[in-house]
Amino acid sequence: MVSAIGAVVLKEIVVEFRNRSLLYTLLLFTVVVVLILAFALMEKTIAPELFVAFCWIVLFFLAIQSGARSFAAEYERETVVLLHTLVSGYAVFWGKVVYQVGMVTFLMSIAAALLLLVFDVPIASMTGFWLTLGVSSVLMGAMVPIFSALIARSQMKGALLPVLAFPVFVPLMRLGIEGMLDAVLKQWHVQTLILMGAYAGIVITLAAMLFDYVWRE
Amino acid sequence: MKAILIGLGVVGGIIVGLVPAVHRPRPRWWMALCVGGMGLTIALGLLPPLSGTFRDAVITWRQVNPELYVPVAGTLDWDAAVAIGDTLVVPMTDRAIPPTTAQVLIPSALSVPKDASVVILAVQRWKNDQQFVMRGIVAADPILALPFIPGLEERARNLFFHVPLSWVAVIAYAYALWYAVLFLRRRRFIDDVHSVSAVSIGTLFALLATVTGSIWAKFNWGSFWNWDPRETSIFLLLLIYAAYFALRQSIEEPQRRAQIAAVYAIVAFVTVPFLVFIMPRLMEGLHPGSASDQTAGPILSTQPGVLHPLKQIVFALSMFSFSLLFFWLLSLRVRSGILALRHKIQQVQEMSEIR
Amino acid sequence: MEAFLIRYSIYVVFLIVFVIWIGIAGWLWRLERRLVELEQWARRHEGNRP
Repeated sequence: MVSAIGAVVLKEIVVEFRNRSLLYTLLLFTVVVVLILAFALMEKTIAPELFVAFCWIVLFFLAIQSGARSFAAEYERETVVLLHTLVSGYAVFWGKVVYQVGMVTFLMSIAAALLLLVFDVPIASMTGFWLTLGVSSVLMGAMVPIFSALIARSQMKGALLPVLAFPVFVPLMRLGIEGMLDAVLKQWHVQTLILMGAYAGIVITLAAMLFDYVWRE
Repeated sequence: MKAILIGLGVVGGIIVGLVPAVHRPRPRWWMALCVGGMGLTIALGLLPPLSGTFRDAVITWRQVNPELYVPVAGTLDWDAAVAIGDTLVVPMTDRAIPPTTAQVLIPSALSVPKDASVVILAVQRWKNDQQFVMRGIVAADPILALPFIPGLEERARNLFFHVPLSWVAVIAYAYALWYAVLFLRRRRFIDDVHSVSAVSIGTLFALLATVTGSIWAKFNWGSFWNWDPRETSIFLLLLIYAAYFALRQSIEEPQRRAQIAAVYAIVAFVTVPFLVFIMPRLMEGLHPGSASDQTAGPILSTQPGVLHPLKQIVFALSMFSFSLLFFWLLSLRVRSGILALRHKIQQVQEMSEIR
Repeated sequence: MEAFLIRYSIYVVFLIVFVIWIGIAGWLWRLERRLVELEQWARRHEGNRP
């Protein structure tokens, strides 16, 4: 089982590194966002609340964009048949989740480091900030694959993904933004992270249970 | 008592709603029950006059708006009436517990029936807390009366329409979830028809709850939309189910559309308990029952005296009638959906016969 | 005029809401009858097929 999941993850990485189009697009997106913010707010200290908002805007769009073509591409390349015959739906789902989590966390840590470099924001609890950011990226990344599987065969895929995912993300984002604000302004709390984990846990478990219905014809 | 009444309204509405199965025609008695129940809800919710006390009038004058007229119910003591100029000063005992007696100044232009034992007068506080001036008569010997709540006044009647609408919307979404699960297990298109019909009727109810709520909010909180936690959550709920329809629209193949939609309905429903039951109670907000409120709100609070007995009865009746209305609309939608499905199947069969 | 409003405005509101509800109920009632007819027709139509 684990090896099947590992194989899917490896396949995702190899496919990505063959052309690196998604990686470059997302890196460019991150850099552009940070640059635009830097140009607009040059020489100005920004409020910590604004900094948290920037982090979450970048995180939301990173998570959505990284998952937008994940399944649709499989159908276009007609690699679905291979996946169907070689591995179980379970392995595909968890493989995609692991890959997505890695991708979002990696890109988000770059984005956060850039934002921190550009805006010299005083942060009350560095550990709390990075911990909240890490947990948020992991959970956001893990929640995306089920939605990208849902839209894979629909028309207007790109437009539909944020529409479908956003309302389900909102409770997580609400908690995450609150937790990050606490970390930046005063003190971070474990409870927020646990609550986030519980909510995302339910969604991801349900997604894993239902994935086969989306995946198998 | 309250829990039993309201429970009866909710559970009774669901049971009677499901008694002739949703895909069967509604019997005549059933439709009459729905029409009559709703008519009675409207009558009992809107017709009884409000009846307050002198204390309510003082509170309204002090804290809400000194210009407002407050309906005060009580008994006038005509024997002790004194005429000063062209106004009549009559002592009146209100129906508070314990009752208070105050002077009511009745201008000669206004007449009050002397044979009525209880009258409800629209009054305003006058020179001091013991003197009130009459502005009009609301009712004489009313059969039923609803309590006057300072700050809410007539707007409190919205409880009978706004709250059941949103509760029924949640019932509708739960029904849709149940049939989405059934569809995934049994793969019968009829289950999908049930699910999508419940979502569309539920969204209609949620929209009506939003509209009644926001009109009410304009007059009570000052603006149509305040981003109160409950407003945020119904907004997200509407967003989720709008996305549900967008998803359905974008998939052509029927089997796949039903399957994908069922999965989304299940995943999206996870947010409903969080948005409806948890978030609005944990956060500070304007709605009753939020974190800044001492009670759990008028309906769910277990404290005695939070909701007037007549209001409990009307609320239970309203829940019952709105549930029946939902199941009626649902039945119409499901049955026409099934007819359309059968028509399509037949077309396909005829096509294959021609070949 | 004001005294009249205090006494009767709620009856006007009631009347409007009640008439709207009777309209909706009548429409639903008619819809129900027509759907029943349609269902019977569909059943007969299907029954005639070989």
